[in-house]
Amino acid sequence: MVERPRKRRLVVGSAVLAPGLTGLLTDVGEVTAATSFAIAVLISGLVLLVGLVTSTRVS
Amino acid sequence: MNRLIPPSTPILDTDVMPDEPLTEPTATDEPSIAGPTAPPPPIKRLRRRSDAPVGGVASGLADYLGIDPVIVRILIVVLAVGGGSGFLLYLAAWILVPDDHDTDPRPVAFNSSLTAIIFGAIVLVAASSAVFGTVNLNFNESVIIPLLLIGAGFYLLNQRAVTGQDEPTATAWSPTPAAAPPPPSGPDSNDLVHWATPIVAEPPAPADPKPPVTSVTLAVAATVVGILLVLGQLTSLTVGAGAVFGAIATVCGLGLVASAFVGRARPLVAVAVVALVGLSLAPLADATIAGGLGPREYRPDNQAELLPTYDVGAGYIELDLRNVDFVDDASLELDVGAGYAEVIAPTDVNLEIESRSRFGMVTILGDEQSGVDVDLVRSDQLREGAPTLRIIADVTFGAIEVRRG
Repeated sequence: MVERPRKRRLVVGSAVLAPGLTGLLTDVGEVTAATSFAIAVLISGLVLLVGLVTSTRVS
Repeated sequence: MNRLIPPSTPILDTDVMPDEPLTEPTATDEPSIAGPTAPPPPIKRLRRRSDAPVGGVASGLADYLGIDPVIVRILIVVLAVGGGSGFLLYLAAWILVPDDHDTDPRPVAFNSSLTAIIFGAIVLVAASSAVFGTVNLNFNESVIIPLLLIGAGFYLLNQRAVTGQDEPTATAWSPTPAAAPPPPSGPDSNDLVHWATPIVAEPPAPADPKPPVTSVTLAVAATVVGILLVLGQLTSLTVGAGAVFGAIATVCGLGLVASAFVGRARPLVAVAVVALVGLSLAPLADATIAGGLGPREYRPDNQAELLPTYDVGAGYIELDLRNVDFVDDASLELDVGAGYAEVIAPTDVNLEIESRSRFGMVTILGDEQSGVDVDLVRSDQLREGAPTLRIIADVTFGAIEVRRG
């Protein structure tokens, strides 16, 4: 069970991470916005997943 | 009314007093009767692990965040493979983060004066290159601002030790004797020794040390943006407003994720919101920087005068192609940040038009669409063998119109 404030921070962080990475990859990576978005969502999802799993293990 | 024991009279009988004199406890005395006096938790500091196989950055960071080093290693490898930033960050951390033998309280510090000299020399050479144009940079494209950002990032990280924010916020406490309990009710009490022993007030629980997530994240964001801008100037990497705001949002997002494990970072939410707003306006900013402001009117007389790209940041573009006698296929792009773009095409060429307006209206050869993220592709083939004019038009906020004259 992940405590609520921690879960909230993880979700907010991942939610900020996705568009940020999209913008970064689109501009720097010279890939299309759709590809960047897909990669960003994948990475954000992984970060969220690892965070939740780690939190569950810690608590 | 007579009192059995006057208040001014010492009630302790010397016959039952211990040998040691009764003294005021000092700050160094161990309280003999006290509440739990657990030492404050050790301050977490970012340190490289000296027993790690490579630089100890990953294991040190994992120690600091309290997570498995494997996660950090995977993240570094992913970042290193995907563009090389992981490699650069690892190298920077290897140079700048002290190892676990270092007693310097700063989270980031130069390990030796030699490192500081090398780093300073690199900064000076880069700045000199920018100033004297040895790498063909003008002031606006210089690396001075990015380097200042990098410097600000390191300054913020180092400054923490000076301001003491990295220290735990436990309230200073010295044991003071508590109010004496009421004396025993009678002179024949055999508990006087206990009563004579100084009782010390329970110390306040030390506040949890709060890792500097916000300031470290902001410092890292400034540093990353600076590095990106330097790379944008010195390499072929495209670094626009989108990359800058995207990097800030990315670092803030990672900082917020880290705050789930190592303390609170509420100000980062506001920074992230600003970065995301900036990110959404980045195309407008890029177009403004590239295209400038004001109305633009172009009336080329022949195909050779055609520009590959027509830009305006905010304003109006009118591209009148009626005087051009096309002999070959041609292609041109229009990029408008905020405003209106109008293209008047000749009547004797085939047209292939791709247009996009993020917020606004698109009118292509009489076909009109409006809304958010409007994409309109039209092809108008007049006759076989005629030259084809290909137009790619992009407006962030505003309208596009392409028609035949």
